Amino acid sequence: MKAMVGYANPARFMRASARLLPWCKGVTALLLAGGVYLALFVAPPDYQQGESVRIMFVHVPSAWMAMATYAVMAVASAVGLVWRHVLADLTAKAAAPIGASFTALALASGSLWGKPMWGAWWVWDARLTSVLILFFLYLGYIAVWQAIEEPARAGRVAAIVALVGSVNLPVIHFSVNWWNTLHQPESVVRMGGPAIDPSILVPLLVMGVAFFAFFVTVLLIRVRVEVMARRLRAVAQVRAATAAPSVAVQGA
Amino acid sequence: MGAAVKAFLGMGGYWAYVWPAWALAVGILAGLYAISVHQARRAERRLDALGRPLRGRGALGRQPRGGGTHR
Repeated sequence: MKAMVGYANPARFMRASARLLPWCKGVTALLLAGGVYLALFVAPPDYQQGESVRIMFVHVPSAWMAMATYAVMAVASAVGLVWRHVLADLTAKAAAPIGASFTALALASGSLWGKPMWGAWWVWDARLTSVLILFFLYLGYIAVWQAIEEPARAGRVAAIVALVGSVNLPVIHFSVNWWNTLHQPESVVRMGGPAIDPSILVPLLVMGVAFFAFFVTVLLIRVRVEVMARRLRAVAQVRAATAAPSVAVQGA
Repeated sequence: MGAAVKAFLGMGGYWAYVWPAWALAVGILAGLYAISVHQARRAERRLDALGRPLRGRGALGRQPRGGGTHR
């Protein structure tokens, strides 16, 4: 906790993230290269889905990250609300476009898999609908930041939106158990172990870790952007405040 | 060789679904990364112009090219 509080200092975060970023980029590139190779060239076709199973190697990790990113956003929002950490608000703000992108990718790739497998691009299934709601929650969260000019107030309102929306996370996760859905039940994290053969599970997990590394890398870059933007705003405000009296004197 | 490549690209008849899904993944992730890096560089340039000593070793985790005014 003490270390976390230490890194809540923007200047310290900027120094630490600058050292960390090259490593994050390298690890992400390696993992993505390995994951793509395993997914496209090593994993066998599924006995039922055939080669269309290769869509799963982008669909499943993006769906995992869509939910994980929202969880990160909700936790950061809670920390921002309770402890008023500037970096927590900025982290939540920076995570939102990443989460929206993962969610869009999960929905689009799922649709591309659904057409040949289910015979439909879209069904109003509990899992699909709850993920679509997640996408709208991301858009709503981003819109709040865009709509409110004062950053502190925008952060508070957006944090409440993020926390209220986090109710949707367990709904997404358990939707396949609570309702009769077309979407397949849990097949990786479940009682009794994964239901997927290791020849497909391993590439899937490598892609999952690669997507997570990508998320960390882009999040670090975007938080740095937010810190710099905040500093630029502060400088602009100071300049406006110091320029105002001289203008008034000239006017007089 | 040609037949193997053709079979790979054909994806067992699912090419029209598999490749667009992967193209979307590459497009969305690469686009997100490129936009983030572009924004970081722009913010770094604006801060350089103001001469604010804020950014550790540069927005993208390296020394600013040619040195910055904040050194």
